[in-house]
Amino acid sequence: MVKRRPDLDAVFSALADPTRRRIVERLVRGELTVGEIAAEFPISQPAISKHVKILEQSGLLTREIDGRVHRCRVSLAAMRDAAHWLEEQERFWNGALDNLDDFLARTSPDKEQR
Amino acid sequence: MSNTQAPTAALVIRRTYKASRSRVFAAWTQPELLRQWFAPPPGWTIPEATIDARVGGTYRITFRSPDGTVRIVGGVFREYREPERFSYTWAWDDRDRDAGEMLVSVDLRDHGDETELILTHENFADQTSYARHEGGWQLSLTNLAAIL
Repeated sequence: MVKRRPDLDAVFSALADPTRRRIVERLVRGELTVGEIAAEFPISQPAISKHVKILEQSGLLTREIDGRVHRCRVSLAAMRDAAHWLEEQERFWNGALDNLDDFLARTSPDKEQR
Repeated sequence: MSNTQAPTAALVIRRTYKASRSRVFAAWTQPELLRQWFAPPPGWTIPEATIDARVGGTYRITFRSPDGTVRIVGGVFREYREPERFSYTWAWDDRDRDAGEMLVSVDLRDHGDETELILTHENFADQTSYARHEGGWQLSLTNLAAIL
């Protein structure tokens, strides 16, 4: 079994679900209780709780428990880690694909004829 | 009930080249050609590349930085259809820095004297899930930035 970086995998896997992405987008604008999140989405509160739990386990969401009220907010550090990983991959591939363009132009078989 | 597998996140980049598909395909799959362009950061070189281009074949590419740092990426071909598509697993030797095994797919579309290349880099959490989630969800800095 390949050892993987658990945090990043959990973050991407959490973000792979459209409802969870919308929850994150919503929480970026301000913290909400689980009940408030549930009120904004056309799915049951238990389903929302499950999504919140997955987001929490990924590190994207932190929960503050005040009596019976669970306040949720987004962890910008986890978002930044994901953005940083993505940026590295994008930089790598954009660099390589630019090089490929140069290489193909340099080695073009019909370069002489044009 | 089978477990509900989330689609994998994918980075998708499209480019168009003024070259035939077979030339673009060869540039990716023939080591002596790949070595001439694949090292992206300026100053980096590829001292060694081996590519056993067939389904189940392995590849291994060694990158060397100007200060002598060596990093190796390698994996196994999952798909191989010359000259239109291949995919291979993608893992760096330095696992502390990079997430483990990923999947890279290259699709080449013929547009007359141009070739459109679609590169997909997936961070797939489950090694058996990739085939079932063609497409996955596209991840880009722009849509992540929109979230941030």
